Amino acid sequence: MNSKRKTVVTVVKPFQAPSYDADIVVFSDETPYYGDESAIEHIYHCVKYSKEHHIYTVSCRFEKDFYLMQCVISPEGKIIGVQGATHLNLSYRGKFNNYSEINVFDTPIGKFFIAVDSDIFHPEVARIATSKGADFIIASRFMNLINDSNYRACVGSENASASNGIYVLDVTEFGARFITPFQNNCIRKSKIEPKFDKKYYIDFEMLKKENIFNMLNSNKLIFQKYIDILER
Amino acid sequence: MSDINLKLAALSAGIKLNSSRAINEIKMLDIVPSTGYKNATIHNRIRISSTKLEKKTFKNMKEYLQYLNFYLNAAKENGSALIVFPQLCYLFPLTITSGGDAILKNITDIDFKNLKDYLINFEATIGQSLYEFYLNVFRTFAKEYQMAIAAGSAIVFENGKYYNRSFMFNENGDIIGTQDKLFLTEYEKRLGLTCGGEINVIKTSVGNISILNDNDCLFFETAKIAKQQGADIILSSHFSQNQRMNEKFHEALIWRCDEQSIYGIESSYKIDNIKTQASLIAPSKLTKDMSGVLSFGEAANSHTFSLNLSKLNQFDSYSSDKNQTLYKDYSKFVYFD
Repeated sequence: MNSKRKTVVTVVKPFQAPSYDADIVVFSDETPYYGDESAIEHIYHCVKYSKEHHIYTVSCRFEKDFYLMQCVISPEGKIIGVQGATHLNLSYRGKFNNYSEINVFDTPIGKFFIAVDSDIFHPEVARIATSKGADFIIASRFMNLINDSNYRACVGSENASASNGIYVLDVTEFGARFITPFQNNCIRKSKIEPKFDKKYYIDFEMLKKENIFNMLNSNKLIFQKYIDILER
Repeated sequence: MSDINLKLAALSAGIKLNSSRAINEIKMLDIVPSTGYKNATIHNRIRISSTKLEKKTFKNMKEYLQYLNFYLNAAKENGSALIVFPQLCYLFPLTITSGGDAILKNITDIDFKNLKDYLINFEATIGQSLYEFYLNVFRTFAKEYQMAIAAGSAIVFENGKYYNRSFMFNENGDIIGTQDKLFLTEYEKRLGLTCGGEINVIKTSVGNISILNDNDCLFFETAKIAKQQGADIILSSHFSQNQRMNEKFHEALIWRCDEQSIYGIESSYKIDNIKTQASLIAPSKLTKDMSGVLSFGEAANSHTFSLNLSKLNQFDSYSSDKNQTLYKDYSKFVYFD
């Protein structure tokens, strides 16, 4: 369904106008998440924003039915899907349930997955998403809850990118980092950039994710042998 | 037609790679055993040495044994219970034999024409002698030093197939575990090697060890399987002549240790114009700058590290959550056709 060679992703503060040529916008929000009641209002504004700017919008994190979620809105203002946090950091346990689906959004601008909050630190999540066809992952998380170094905070997204051969856009309340897969560049331990409305290019021609999966497939038997362990 | 150098090497192996002579030469080194084993088992003080090996050619057996002894002695002086050598170091004694320099050059050259056929001829001529010599030398050193040795790896021919097999010797000189390379590099594919079919965790005096070299470390699955089977430490080395590949494997080991809350010991070769190191990798929360690297050494030497296995049990607020429903629901999709 992807009809583009390159997709332009941008990160802005909530509801700031995006670049005119951006295809998808992700909000960098200082709120950990929107509670059940304010979530509806937030999504309403996201829908309005998408229609106004004719852009795909990734909402901020919100609470719904005891899940921590994000949704994607099309340029026509339709909610095309949701993704919940499949793993929870310490402060969210007991408050939310673990979501048990990995939804890859198949759009004309590419196939992507939203890693909600600490999901980017769990390699199983990125592996499943890439196996389902994701070309890029948008990792949206709130850093302030857990006191951590910039490097530690970046490990998950770098790992996900290199281990699966996909792009990762790592978005926090402080800004964003864009990770390109190993096959194209050496890993750079770049810091979170506090610049907004910067454009990041997903180049589908450059994606060589089949390399890592060819390698995985070359000895899939080893994983099949230990499948009960991998399911733990 | 077999390479003339292989024939010459095979002819000279009877003397130049004679195991009995090697054992006698090692005993003449008057080795003082390491206290590392006692410290590890009685006092729970674990010290492990990792090598950054300088690639050298050797005029004779004595020179080769003294070269190995340099690294082993340094580890002993620092009270190590285990020393780690990088993979395929078993090839170095080839240069002792007649024509050995050329053989070493050919068999490690990824662009060598008909590398697969060359390996078959190698195995038919010098391969078995070299393999036996390698096992006997490391067995004897382990026993004399009373120090466990992760002796790198050798190309092993078994049941009609070739494997890149890593060996672990205990302080008595017994082979207590092996690990076949799971995901082959381009070089290994050209050699015609076969992938390993198991992930082994080897119980040693310093902890439970898994060996994941090169590509084996690129997959979180291998480290997860090792950890779930009780591994505390991953040993990893890279055979790449490429800076970017070395960085890639180094980073991959850091991620594996962080994900699985496990230590990593990296060994390497000294290669001109390429930065390599021997290092101790830990979950990032255990390192001062949270970089994942606890300690490292860049000189061609043994580098000794102290480990505290009890620190691996520290709770991690990011990665401690599990979602078994998710893993079960998708495992068939990801790992089965």
